[in-house]
Amino acid sequence: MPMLDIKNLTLEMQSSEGAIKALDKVNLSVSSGEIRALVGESGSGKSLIVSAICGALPNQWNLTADRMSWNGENLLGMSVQQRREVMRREIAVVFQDPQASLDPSATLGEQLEESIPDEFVQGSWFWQRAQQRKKIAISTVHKVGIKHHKHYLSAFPHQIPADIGQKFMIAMALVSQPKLLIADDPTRGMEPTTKTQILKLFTRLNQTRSLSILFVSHDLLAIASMSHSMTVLYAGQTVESGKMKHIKKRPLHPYTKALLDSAPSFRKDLPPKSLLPTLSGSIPTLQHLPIGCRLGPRCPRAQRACVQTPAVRKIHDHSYSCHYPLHMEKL
Amino acid sequence: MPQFSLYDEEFHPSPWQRTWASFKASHISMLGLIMLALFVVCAVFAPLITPYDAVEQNIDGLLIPPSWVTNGSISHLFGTDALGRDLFTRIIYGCRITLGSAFITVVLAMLVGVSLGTFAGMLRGVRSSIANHLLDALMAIPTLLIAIIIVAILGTGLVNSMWAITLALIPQFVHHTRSFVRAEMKKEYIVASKLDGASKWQLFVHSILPNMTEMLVVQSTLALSIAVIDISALGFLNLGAQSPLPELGVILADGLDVAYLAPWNVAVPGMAIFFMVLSINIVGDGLRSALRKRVSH
Amino acid sequence: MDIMQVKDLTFIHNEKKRWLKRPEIFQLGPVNLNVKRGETIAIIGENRSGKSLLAKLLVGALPADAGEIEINTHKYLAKYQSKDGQQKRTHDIRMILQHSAESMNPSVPVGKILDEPLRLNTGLPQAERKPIIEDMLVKVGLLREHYYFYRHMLSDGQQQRVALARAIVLKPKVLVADEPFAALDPSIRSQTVNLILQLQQELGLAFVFISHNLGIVRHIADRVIVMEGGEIVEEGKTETIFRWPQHTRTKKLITAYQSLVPQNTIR
Repeated sequence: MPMLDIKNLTLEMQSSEGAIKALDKVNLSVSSGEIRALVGESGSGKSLIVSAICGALPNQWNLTADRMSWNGENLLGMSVQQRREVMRREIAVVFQDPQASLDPSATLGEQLEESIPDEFVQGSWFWQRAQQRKKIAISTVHKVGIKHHKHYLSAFPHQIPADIGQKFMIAMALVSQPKLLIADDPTRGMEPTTKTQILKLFTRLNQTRSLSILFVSHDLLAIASMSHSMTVLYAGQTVESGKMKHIKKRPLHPYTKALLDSAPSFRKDLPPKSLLPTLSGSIPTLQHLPIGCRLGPRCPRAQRACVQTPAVRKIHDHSYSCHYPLHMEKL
Repeated sequence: MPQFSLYDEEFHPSPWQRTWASFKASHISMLGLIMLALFVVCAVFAPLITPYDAVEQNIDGLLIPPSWVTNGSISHLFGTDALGRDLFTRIIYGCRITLGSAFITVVLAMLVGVSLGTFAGMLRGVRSSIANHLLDALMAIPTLLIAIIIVAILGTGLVNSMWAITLALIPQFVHHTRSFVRAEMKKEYIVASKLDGASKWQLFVHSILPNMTEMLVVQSTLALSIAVIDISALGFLNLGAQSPLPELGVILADGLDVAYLAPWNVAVPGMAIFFMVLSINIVGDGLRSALRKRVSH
Repeated sequence: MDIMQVKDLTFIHNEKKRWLKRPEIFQLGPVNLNVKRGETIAIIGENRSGKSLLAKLLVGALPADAGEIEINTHKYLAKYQSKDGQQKRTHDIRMILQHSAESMNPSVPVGKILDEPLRLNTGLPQAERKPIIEDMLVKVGLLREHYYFYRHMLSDGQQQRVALARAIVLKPKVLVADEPFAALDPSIRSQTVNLILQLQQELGLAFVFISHNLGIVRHIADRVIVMEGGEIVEEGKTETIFRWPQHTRTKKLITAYQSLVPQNTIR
C-alpha cells in the first residue's frame, strides 16, 4: 500500500477571468522505501503540490481530490491538529536555499536542538534534557556527513558553505525521524561535487533507514541517477508516471522525451555542437492555459483530439496520459 | 501604442497605468484625490469664483454669521470677520496662497535636494560622506523649528517664510535621493549600461531617473503636507504672511480674537487647513501603496 | 586565427588594513588565454575560484591590476583608471550576466534597453536605429512588438533573450556569459543553447561561458578551462579533459559528473 496516495487532485482559484485550475487531476503516490522524483519545470505546479501536502496552501486555492491519504488516513478529513501532528512527526521538508531557511540570528546548534521533538528527550532535570539534546544533535549531524561538528554547530548560517548548509537542513529534517522526506529542489544552483554529495546522502538515507523521499526537481541528470520512480508534471497535469528505468528506456509521452532530450548526457550519439531537439514555444502562464491536454500547442504530434484531456492509461505500472503516445505510429 | 497582433484580449499596461489602476481601486484614495482636486481648482481659479474682494472691508457687515445659521444670509456664504471681510472669499484666496506657496516651496526644495543628493550618491569619497551625515543630522530637528530660526534671521513675510521652509525641506530630499542613487548604482543594469559606455550623466538621465520618479512622488507628497502645515503655522504665529494677506494661518489668527463671539471665524479656516492636509496625506498614502503593489507584483 | 589574446591578466583584491583585522588577499592570475574565432570555451571550477571575476575582468566591468588584452588586433591594457582609459576598450567583447531579470531596468521598455548601446556607440540617428533593433529582436526569437514591452511582461526565457540581444547588437567578436543557463528550465535551456549555436554560426562569434552544468559543457564547448583559487589549473580540448583529467580538482569535478551519467548510476 503506498504511503502517500494522491488521486485526481485539483486546485482551483477564482480570478477575474474565471476559474483557473492550477493543478488538474494530478496523481502521485509514494510507496514505503522508494525514491520518487516529481519532475516539472517552473509553472508546472510542483511547489503547489508540496504546499498542498503540507497543508500550507494560501486561502484563495480550492482543493478537491478523490483521494489524498497518508498511511491510509485521509489527509483532507483530518482536523488541523492531527494534520500538524502528521506534518511534525512523519513528513519532513527540505527546501531550496539553505541560507533562506535558517534563522540568521541563531547558531546552527541552537536551531537543531530546538527542533528535536520532546518525546525523544528524557530526563527529569533540565540539564539532563539539555545534554541529551546536544547528544542527539551531534549524532544526527554525523549521520549526514558533517564531520567537524563542534565548529559548525557553533557557527551562524552566513558563515557556512552551501553544501554544509544543505546537509544541515537534511539533519534538521531527520531529527524527528520522519517516514517521508520531501526535498523541494535541494540541489538547485549547486556545483557538481556538492550536488553529488547531497544525492549520495539521500541514497544512503534511503537504503539504511528505508526513508521514502519525494524529490522535486527539474534536474534530470540528478533524478535519473538516483530515483526509483518518476512522475512528470506539465502545467499542472500529470503526463507520465512509472519506474525510472522503464521511462528512461522508453518514454511514452512527447514531453517526457523532450525533457530527456534536454540533457545531452543521456545520448551518446549526439555530435558535439549540434542543435538539441527542443519543443517550440514556451510554458503557458496561468492565465492562458490551453484546454484539454496542456501540451497541445507545443506538441509536434498534436491532432484535433488533443483538445480533450486524455485519460490515464497504464502499461504494467507505467501510466501516461496522451492520445498519441510515442509507441504508437504517428497518424 | 501600436496594434498588437499577439493576444488581442490581453492588454499590457505601462507601469504608470498600472499604478493608476490600483490607485483607482481604493475608494478612500479617490475621495482624497477629489478633495485635493477641489482645492487645486479653488487655488487656480480663485479670482473667477470669488464674489467679493479679499481685503475690502465692509463696516456695515461686521461678524455676519454663516449662511447655515438662521441670522446669516446667502450673500456671505461663510459669514464675515471682525473687519467685515467676506470669509468665503478669504478662504478661497487663502487656499490659493497656502497651497500655491507650499507647492512652489516643494518644487524648489526638490530641485535643489535631488541635485545635491544625486551628486552625493554618484560620486564617492570621504568628504561627500561627511556632508551627507551633517545634513542627515539636520533632519532630526523639526522643520518648523528650522523655519522659525531662519525667519528670525531673514525677517517676517510670506516670501521669507517660503525661503525658510524650502531650506528646511532640502535635507530630506537629499537623504532619500542619495540612498536611492547609491543603491541603484550597485544594480546590475547600471553595470550593463556602464559597459555600454554611458557617462555618469547619461546613466542618471536614462537609467536612474525613470526608477526614481516613484520615490520622488512619495517624498514630494510628504513634503507638501509638511509645507502646508508649516506655512500656515508661520502665518498663525505672525512670522510668515502678515495681515491683511489672506493666508489660512493668518485668517485663523485674526479669528482667534473674536473666537467666542463668532466661532465660525476660527472653525472655517481651521477646517480648510485640516481638509487640505488630510487630502494630501490620503493621496500620498494611496500613491505609496499603489506603487508598492506595483513593485511586488 | 586568434581573435582574443589575454596576457598576464592579474587582479589582487586587497582589503585595506582595518583595525585589528588582517587584510584578505585574493589574487587572480596571472592568466594567459587565447581564443580562436568561432570557438566555444567553458570555464568550470568550484565556487569562489575566480570564474566570475575572470569574466568581469575580460569584459571590463572591473579594472584589473595588470595585463594586456588584444581583441581583433586592437590591443589595450586591462587596467584603467579614468574614463578615457575606458574609451580605448573595444566593444568587440560583450557580456551576459547570470540573472537576466536583474540586468534589465524595470522602468525602461525593451526597445530603449536595446537602443542604449547603439545610441552611445554608433552615430546613427533614431530612424536608423529602430530597424536594427527590430531585426535583432527577430533574430533572437522574439517578436517586433516586444519593442514596447517592459521587464515584468516577459518570461525569464524571454528576458534571457533580451540580454542576449543587447550583447550582440553591437556585433561583437567575443561573447562572455556568466552561468547563462543556470536559472533556466530544461526546455528553455535547450532553446537558448540552440540559439547561441545558431548565432555563433551566423556571426562567427567566440563564446566564453561559465557553467556548472557539465552535460552542456561537454556538448557545446570546444575547450575547457578549469580554475581553482584564482588560477587556471588545467585547460585543454573538451574530450581530453573529460576522459583524461589530470589535476586533482578536474578529477573531482569529472568524477562527480560521471557518477550522475546513466551508465555509472549510484544504485
